[in-house]
Amino acid sequence: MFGRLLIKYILKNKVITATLFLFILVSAMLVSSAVHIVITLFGSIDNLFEQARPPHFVQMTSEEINRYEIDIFAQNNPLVESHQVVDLLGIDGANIYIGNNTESKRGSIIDNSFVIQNSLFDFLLDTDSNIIQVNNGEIAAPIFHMQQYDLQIGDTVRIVDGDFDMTFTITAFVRDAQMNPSIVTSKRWVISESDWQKLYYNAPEMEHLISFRLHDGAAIGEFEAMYQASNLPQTGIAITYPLFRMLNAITDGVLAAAIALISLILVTIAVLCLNFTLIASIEEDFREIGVMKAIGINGKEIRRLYMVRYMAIATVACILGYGIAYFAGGLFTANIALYMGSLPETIWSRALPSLGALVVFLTVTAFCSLILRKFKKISAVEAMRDIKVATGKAVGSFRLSRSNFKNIHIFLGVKAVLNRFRMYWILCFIFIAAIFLMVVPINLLNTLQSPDFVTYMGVGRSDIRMDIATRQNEDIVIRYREIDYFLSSHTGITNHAVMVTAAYRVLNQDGLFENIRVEIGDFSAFPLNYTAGHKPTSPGEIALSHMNAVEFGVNIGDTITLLVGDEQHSLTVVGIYNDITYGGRTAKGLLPYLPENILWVVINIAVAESVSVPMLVEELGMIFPNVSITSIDEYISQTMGGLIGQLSVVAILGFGLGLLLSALITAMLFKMLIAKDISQIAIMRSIGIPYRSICLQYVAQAATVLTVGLVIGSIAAVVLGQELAGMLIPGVSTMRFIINPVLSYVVSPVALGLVVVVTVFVSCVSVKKISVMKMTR
Amino acid sequence: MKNILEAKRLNKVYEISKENSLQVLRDVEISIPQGEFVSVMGASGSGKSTLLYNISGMDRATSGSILLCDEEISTMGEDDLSALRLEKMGFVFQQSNLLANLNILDNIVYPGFAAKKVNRKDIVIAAKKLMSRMGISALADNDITQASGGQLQRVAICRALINDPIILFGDEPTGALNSKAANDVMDILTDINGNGTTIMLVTHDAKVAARTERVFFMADGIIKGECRLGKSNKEQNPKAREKHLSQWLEEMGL
Repeated sequence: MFGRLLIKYILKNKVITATLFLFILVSAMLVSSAVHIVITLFGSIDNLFEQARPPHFVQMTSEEINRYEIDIFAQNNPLVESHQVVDLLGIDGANIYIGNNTESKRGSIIDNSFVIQNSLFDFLLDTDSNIIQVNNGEIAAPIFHMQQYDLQIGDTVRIVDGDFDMTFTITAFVRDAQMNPSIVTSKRWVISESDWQKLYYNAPEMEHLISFRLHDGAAIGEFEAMYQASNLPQTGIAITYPLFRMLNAITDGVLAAAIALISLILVTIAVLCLNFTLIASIEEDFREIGVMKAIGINGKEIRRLYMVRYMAIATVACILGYGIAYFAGGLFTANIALYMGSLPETIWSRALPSLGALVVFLTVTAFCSLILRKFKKISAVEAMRDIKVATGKAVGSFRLSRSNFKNIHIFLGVKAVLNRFRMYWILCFIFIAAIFLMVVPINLLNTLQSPDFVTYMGVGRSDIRMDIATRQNEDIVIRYREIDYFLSSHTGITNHAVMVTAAYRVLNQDGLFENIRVEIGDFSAFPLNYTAGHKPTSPGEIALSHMNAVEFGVNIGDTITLLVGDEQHSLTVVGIYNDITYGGRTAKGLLPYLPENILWVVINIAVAESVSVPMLVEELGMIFPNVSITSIDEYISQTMGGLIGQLSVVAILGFGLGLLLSALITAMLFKMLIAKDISQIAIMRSIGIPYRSICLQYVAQAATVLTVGLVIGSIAAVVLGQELAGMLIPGVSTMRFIINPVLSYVVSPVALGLVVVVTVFVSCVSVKKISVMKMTR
Repeated sequence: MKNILEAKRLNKVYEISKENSLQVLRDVEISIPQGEFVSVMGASGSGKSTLLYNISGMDRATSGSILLCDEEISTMGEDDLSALRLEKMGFVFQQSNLLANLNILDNIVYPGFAAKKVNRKDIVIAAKKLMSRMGISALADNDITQASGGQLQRVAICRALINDPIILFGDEPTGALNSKAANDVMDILTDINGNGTTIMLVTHDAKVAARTERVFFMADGIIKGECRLGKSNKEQNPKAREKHLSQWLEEMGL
């Protein structure tokens, strides 16, 4: 009997059932997919890390190193399992020609390092996750390059520097546990030892990774302190195992988080729709319920009738949702599979996503039961009153006879919303969610793509940046002064500032000295937006990145102790700023520095309006071949490329989903409203109100709710959206969206408005079919 | 006097299934001169309400012609029919059929505002005058749940009259009222007719029909006959009119 009743109900309520079904299906699909992504992501990272065995602690340095001292330190340190020094041969992009390209990779911000395969740990793997072995003349290219330049096995890579010309054939692509993510700007190429020697002879720019594997991965903090207390090189960046994991997880982790968020919104909507359909359905079935009660069927049985109906819909939707996620899961995890390898299928990797679908099913069922419980004690008389409220009453101050509103049908539409807001709050919530879903990814994407995003990278807005690395410029001070002098006399350049980053030691909360990178220069030339405080103006002041401030547990006005040379300096924290570069841990000050402490130098350049940025980049590149020169747009797109790519997908998905969501719920709600209003519509038709005017009333109702939804949604998209984005991107304390007003405040609301209006008009077709006889219904 | 409404060879057939159909009106011919007050009587299922809905353009006749003020309405589009109902016709039903989300005054002015024949101030003044004439002035700001059935029916009459219609149709307008309220409503309708408005009622109640000028009797979708009672006036004994009509209805087989 339940089966027959169910089929009858579905046929009678096609739109409502289909909408509810779709929401539960998509929710189940997305939750399953998000679980699948997370399992795949962490499983793949584990697999990759197991096979590649990345170091627990790495100190990068371009100093001359004493390998004997390192060996002694490692041998005497009980925490160390093994250690090695990786020699990175740095080749400037200007000297690298990839594939058939006659253009070199000048201007690329990627640091290309040529290495030989490691023997102890930190293995560089191929796309089958085997340890790469290359013969002479062969090369293994980073996966990042493979994706970026669409490389194939058999393509060539040429390194040309003056008379030196060496050609390699690509035989493999490198999965590099340390440098895989696009956010890491260094990439390792693997060549044979004899080729490496030839290259070294011609381009002896060397950087070293002093790497350690520990017996116990939990002792990294302890080991880090020991290393920093030693006399081993400390001038470069020090990175630890957890940061490698975090960097590997961030790009796809953001995607999983976004999908989880969307599915959470959808589950909420599904539950709200369920609430609405249940109330409407019970009101509609009111007489039948009364009859059932009268003939002695108890409330529990009646509730079971409703429960079975929605549980059946939820069961089919969840199974189907999981099924789609099962077969389409590869779509979301293709990037993970490429960079980190496919995860062998286990029962868990398939069973856990099904738990996601099960959670959706249980949520829907629990809410259904909860909503039905509300009706447990309601008597027939109370139910009657409920219908009365839903139909609406005349509101005191909002009167047609006193209104000067030009179009009375629009007036009546607005009045209907005010009279029975109870019926519309779900729709209002949907519009808020839809605009949030549409605008937040757009705002975030626009922020990441905006040239002003550079302020989240700890620098002010400029047009071009020149990166002078110590390893390619032996006397870096002479080099940057030379460039500084040249730029000062260049007519196409309106402003430039030399920012020197040097290594210092800072006293941390544990009372130990650790490394800190401090940027020194003229901070007024390209002002940065500080989230708190201001730029340092005297040598006694320092500004910290948000993550450093958190790490040192300091705020504006507090002091930190810095070792400058052998002297301890107490510096007052005067500013805190957002920075997502270098693991988010940077500082700015006006400190004296020694040339040997310089890590790198960045020169920010503002270009005259009449000058073309790409042309100037080209021109400067010719003059300063050993300097990486990039336009800021290019710099952002190269560093944030992966994230921007993923976010573009999310933005398109969010936009489409927002529109679809609004159309579906609007159609469902207005179908119900019109069914409820059938006698009122018949009355209006009988007194001669034309079909179009009645439709206009419904459009006005939708427009009123939409306006409220758009205002609240747009505010929420900025206020809550910024909070959300701040949480998603490490190193950012407060995110200020850089909004594209046309996209966020014109295109999105207009698209939503159009979809809603068209949907209401389509839903109103049934108004035409309502005959005057329905008045007596 | 010139006919204001004229129906010729009017048929209405309901298709029940592919094989079965039900003919409710059969070649009905009826003409009503301007200013007349007529009623249609008949047993349940005789087709009297169908006739009313078809000649008022609320429903579509299967065939035949309907002329309202020399204008053919059976071929009119939905929008033109709506405009006609709004501007030239008034309707009163068995239930008051008022809009629940408007108060009483707003219910009356709504068709006036929609028709836009005169400015809104004048419509509100006219509505208040009508209410005062019907004795319901005090209810203007009330919700429709705050009035009795008889009062609501008067509100419905005010709404029907707000656009000064050429013809007023009533489908059992006193059907849901007690005899006192029904008598009051008939007094009002007689009064309105006295001012020149043509009225056509459908009723079961011989007492109500006895107050109209001419009574049609319908059976099986056909007008079987008519009884001319002449204009009713206060000097006349209503009992005599009722008796005369009853005798005629008996002859007709009701």
